[in-house]
Amino acid sequence: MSAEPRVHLSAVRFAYPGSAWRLVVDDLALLPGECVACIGPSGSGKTTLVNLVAGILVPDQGAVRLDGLDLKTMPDDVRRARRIATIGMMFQQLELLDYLTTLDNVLLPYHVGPALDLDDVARERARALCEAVGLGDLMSRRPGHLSQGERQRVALCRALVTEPGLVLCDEPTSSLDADTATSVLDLLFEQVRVRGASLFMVTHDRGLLDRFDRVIDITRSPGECRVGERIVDGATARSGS
Amino acid sequence: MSGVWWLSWQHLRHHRGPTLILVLCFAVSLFLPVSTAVLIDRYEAELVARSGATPMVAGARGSRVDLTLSTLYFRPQQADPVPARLVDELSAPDVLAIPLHVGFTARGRALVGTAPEYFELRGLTPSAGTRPLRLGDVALGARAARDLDLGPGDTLFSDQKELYDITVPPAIGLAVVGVLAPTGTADDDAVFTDVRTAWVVAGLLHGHVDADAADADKLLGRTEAAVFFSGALVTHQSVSLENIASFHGHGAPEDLPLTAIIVVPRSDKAGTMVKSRLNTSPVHQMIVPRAVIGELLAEVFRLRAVLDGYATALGVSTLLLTALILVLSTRLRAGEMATLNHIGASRRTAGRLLGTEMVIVLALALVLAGLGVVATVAALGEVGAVL
Repeated sequence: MSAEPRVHLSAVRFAYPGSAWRLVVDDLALLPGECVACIGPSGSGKTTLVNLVAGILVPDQGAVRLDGLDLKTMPDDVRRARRIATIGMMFQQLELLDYLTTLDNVLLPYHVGPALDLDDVARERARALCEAVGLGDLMSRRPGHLSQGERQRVALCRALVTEPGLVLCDEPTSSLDADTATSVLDLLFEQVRVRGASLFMVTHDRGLLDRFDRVIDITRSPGECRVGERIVDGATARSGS
Repeated sequence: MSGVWWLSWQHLRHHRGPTLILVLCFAVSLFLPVSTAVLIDRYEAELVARSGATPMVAGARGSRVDLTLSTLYFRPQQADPVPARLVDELSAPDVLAIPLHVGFTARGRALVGTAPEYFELRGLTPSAGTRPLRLGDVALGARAARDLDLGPGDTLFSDQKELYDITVPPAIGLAVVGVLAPTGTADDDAVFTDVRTAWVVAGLLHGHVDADAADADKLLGRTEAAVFFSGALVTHQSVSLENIASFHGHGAPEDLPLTAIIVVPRSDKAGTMVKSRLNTSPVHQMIVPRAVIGELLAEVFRLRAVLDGYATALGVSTLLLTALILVLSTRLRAGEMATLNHIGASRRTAGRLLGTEMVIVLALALVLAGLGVVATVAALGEVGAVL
């Protein structure tokens, strides 16, 4: 791999205060344009790993580098500004704001990101994204008047509107029925590939794994969950071997 | 509009009902103590100024407060009137006595019968036309003229106290001859005339056709001392150049009633003397309005202390409710705050969002309360409006 990793975690150790459990990542790199899935049992630290990659959590040891910059050494405000500008987030628990329209929800990063300029280009990009995922007629609706699938598509547009180099997803379709989940994921992969972004997704659904370039799993042992011990390609992971 | 302000505004707009309730709660809790304080301050200032400009008042024994308010604000008095001759008895080279007759109204405005000296005392000058010069003339206070849309040359009818009682004096047409310049006092709402015209309105003086010119069927009898007419003889219902000479009374003019007499001594000595002289009378009294108002205000201040206590309690309960609302709002919006935190909004964004919403709500409440205070002061800002 000759390209500079989009994200590189090295010798990362993280434990929540007072917890006997810790997450260990010896070496994990995510290349530009690469789609990586993360699987593992419940409670193995998948969401914690995503939060470390996003800079929401800071490792106790080791380094998390985003485009070559160590997130741990950045002041909190800088880390947040970088996150909002360069990382798209699509988490199951991330809500749409009920008082904003579809379009304004998509543009939310511009409303709260001090470094992002909400100009006509951004608005046009948001509209184009909505059109692309089939929300063209729903841009002035509020979340209360959208179906669950439509809400997830709004969340997808919000994750992509800043044209991030990295999209992080934490089980984004777990509350959707199979058809809607497939539809949302089709859109997600399509938009990520069109934009050349990297995708890192935590999922329980082994049926999705052949869509990814790589799949990593997290193994659990007493007091420790370790990432990257067994890196397999999508097809192998799908077979469960 | 910056992002946080915009988000806050969108949130408040979307949740209009709760926002409106919150704004109203704040507005009421601001409006009540502020408007009360402003009104009391204005009343106090006005009462002190007007009473201070009225040195002494002579009237019938009875409520000193009623006598004061009748004199200063033309409120109908319950106590007995004083005879007109008291004006002459009180008048002296160093004492000016100004008669005052109130109790009747013209289109709802107090009709004040007085003498030209009253206009000098209060600094009332016509902005249009003249002061009342002859029987039947009236000059309108500035606000009365504006509200009634009347000016010199118009006619104003007095209010008949009982519409279905033919024994009470009929409404009298009064000629508006002038409008007084505004003074910002109770005088602006009154209709001024001379005392004799007030007596005509009260039915104590009247005018009718000469006995020789009256219809024979209305003439019931004639003696050397008097002529007796039927009640069907209609008296003049307005004063004109043709009938002015026919107006007369049937008793001694010095016994006709006055509500009060404003007494203006030229010196302290003259004031002391006239006051002590009148206060020996078993039926009359001389009061100093400033002293009476001072006693009244002392009661108001005691009431104000209670109101201030209520306002403080209201303020504290509003603050506690606000704190509760903030806590509940933070919990209800935990998901929203988590979303903002995760996507990378500044650590302070959640606090700024709630704080900005509170600032907007408070600003709206302030504006609403301010408008309420302005409207209340405009409607009730003068003592006359509440008496």
